[in-house]
Amino acid sequence: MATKKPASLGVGLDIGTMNLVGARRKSGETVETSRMRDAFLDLDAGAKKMLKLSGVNFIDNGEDGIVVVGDAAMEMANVFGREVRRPLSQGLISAGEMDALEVLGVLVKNVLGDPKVKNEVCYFSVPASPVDEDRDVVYHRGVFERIVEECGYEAYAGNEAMAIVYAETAKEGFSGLGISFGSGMCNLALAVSGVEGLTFSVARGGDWIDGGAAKATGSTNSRICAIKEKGIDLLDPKSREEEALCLYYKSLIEYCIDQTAREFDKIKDRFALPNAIPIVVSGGTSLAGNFLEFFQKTFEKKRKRFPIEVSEIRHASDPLNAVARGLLIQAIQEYDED
Amino acid sequence: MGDFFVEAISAPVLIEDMKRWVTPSSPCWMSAEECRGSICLSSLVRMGKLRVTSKKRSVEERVSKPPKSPPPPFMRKMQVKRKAPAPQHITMEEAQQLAAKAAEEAAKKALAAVADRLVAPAPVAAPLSAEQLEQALAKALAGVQFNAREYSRPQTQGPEDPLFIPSGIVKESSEDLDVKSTSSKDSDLGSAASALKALKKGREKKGKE
Repeated sequence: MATKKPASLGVGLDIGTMNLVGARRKSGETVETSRMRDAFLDLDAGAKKMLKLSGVNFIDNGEDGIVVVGDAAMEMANVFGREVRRPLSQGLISAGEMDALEVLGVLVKNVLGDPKVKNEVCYFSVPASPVDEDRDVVYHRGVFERIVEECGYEAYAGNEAMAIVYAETAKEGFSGLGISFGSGMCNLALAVSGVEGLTFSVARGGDWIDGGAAKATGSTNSRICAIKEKGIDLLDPKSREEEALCLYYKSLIEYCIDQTAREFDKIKDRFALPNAIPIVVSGGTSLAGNFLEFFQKTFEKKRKRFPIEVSEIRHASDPLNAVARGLLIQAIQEYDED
Repeated sequence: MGDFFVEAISAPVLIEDMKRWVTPSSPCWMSAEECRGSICLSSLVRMGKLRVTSKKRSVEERVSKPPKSPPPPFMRKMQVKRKAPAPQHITMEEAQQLAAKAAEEAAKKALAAVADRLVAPAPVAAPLSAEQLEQALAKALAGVQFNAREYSRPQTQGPEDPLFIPSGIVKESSEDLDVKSTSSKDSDLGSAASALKALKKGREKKGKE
């Protein structure tokens, strides 16, 4: 009688400004990813009945009202004509959101689920400190370490962009430049043979693009976001708003390339790159139409002065889940497999 | 958007950039804008000296604001109808007696105050500077025991100020919510994990040699 091979242990958790994504390996080669919107909406206690009838789950705080979290919060916000609240701002725990911690606890607990064994290893993503803002990640990291531990896991922090290198550059011996284009910030990591050489972030992302394009055209963030999500071809913009979006996308890509060059110049004397390396782009902001071609076109203009030799530029195989997959790969390392 | 209820956990706290004191016995309400605009408030929350919760004020506590548009029924706040106090009828004579009594009491108090000053003039305390106040506060808070929550410092190096990472963030009775899950075959993941393991083993061997 064939014995069942137990499912591998270990889980990866990508904590983003827009989404939380968990990745866990099932038996065989199947990977299960779980996603929740990183958003919440507080409502009066009187809305309970209506939400129960609609089958929407919520957190009941008694007389203090109720809180709807995740994707349902976005839907309910549209219904009530309100803006959702976000626990993270520009990739880090929002200092102004006083209810953020409790909501994050609920979101993480639901995305991770119960551990398969006590103190199952969980690698969670932490962004690098931004080079263009005076913020550090110490508090952010400490809080999530505490949350993950309280969910029953053994918590390890993993750099967000390095996770992309682990997930996408195995054929290059884990050498490459991983870029995660998030909504709150962009994270970048340069590694050779799995050794981290350079990690940093910039405090610009999809939200910055939306805000800039909205200001430039006299439109609103939500209208610009709707145009973007409807589908935009970065190589062929069809309206004034789309042109503005393209300009801001280009500006963001150029900014990331310039910052990479600047940061690499600081370490080039002590970090050798023996061969050309690939650039792997990932993240929700990279899902815009023809983003890869647009990135390649923008990079070509800067290639001559770029201090790193680039073999190719490619998209992650699964841009929305690449970070979670990379963290899962690191978590699996903690267990000996047959 | 609701207001925020700000309370000091065990000792009076000065929110420097708002020039506002909060004590355990006298918490206060602040708007979302005020909370977001104050860096000191955020720092004090992180240090565990203040607690801020989002609440809905009762009718008695809320400052009256003109409504923007009629809200849906379940969003309407409960209106507490107060009864106006019943008017009291007194005669002219009674009113004159009350006024005379009040004037007499006020005069007595004023005389007593003057007499005290003549007998033993109160020492005039020099006004405290902001620095002196901060030092006094730091001294007072130095020996205070916080027993509301646990403290822990993160293991990694960080800024010089101590960081307060609260515990009990994940509640036992947390709701089960809808999570979007998808399963897919991912043969690359297994091979990537094996390759990384082999790379690390190779590096360890080289290190030992």
